[in-house]
Amino acid sequence: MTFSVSGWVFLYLMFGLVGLWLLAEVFLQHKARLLWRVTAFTGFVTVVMGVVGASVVVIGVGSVGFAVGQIFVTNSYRRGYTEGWTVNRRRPRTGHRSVTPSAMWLTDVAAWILPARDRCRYSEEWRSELWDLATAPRRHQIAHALRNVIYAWPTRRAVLQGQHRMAGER
Amino acid sequence: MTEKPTGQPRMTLPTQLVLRALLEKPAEELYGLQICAKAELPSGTIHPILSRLESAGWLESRWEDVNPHEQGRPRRRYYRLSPDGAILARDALARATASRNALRALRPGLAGGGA
Repeated sequence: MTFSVSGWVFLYLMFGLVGLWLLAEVFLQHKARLLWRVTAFTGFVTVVMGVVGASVVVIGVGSVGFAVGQIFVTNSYRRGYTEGWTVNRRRPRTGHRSVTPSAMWLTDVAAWILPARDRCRYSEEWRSELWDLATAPRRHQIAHALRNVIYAWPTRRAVLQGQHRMAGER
Repeated sequence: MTEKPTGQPRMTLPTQLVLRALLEKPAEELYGLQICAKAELPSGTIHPILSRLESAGWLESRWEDVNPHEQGRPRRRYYRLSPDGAILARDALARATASRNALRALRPGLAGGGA
């Protein structure tokens, strides 16, 4: 397949437009979790890199990343989620309370490790804990969030064992 | 949320610490960070334990009764021992203590603080 020069220019212009749109979503869209916005953006960039490098595998990997990220972004939007991080969002604060975005992001990662049906519950619970640590130094918040990530695996196991036992007794 | 008991959870040392913290005032509801503080465990480490205890029916949990949008923060999850759970927890802790004491009796060097 051959592409004319103007065809390539048009394609890259479209890539640029969509890339800018997704980048704006990463920084400004509070109706989806940062994790999924970054996943969609990274997936798209990977697709572009695959096109530039003419690699079907890279394009495939990027497409999957973009699809997964975008599906979760759309679902969050439909569910009415509004707590996502943005650069310009004013959060309600009391005194010097402030939750560091990286700790919030790690909490999202921890919740993502859990079975889908329990994610919302633990996400809110862990976010409330972060909020309670909002007056603590940034490193304490990140340490807490990191422990949540590490202990998300045993929590996942415990949740699944509980579900299996409950199912076995019915 | 009350669940049907589904067997006794493993009595690891952190589990015992969590149960002791909850048994101080069994009727009192505590959220995760409060339990960590009372049990003297690092924050973020207790959720596997709470999940096991809850699915065993020893714990009850509920969401804090506030509107997150009005409060400007997420709701806390409160935990407390169920009536049966409090009895079973006391029993399990007593058994764990008895086992530990029996072990110490077998190893006299450990008894009395290892002097």
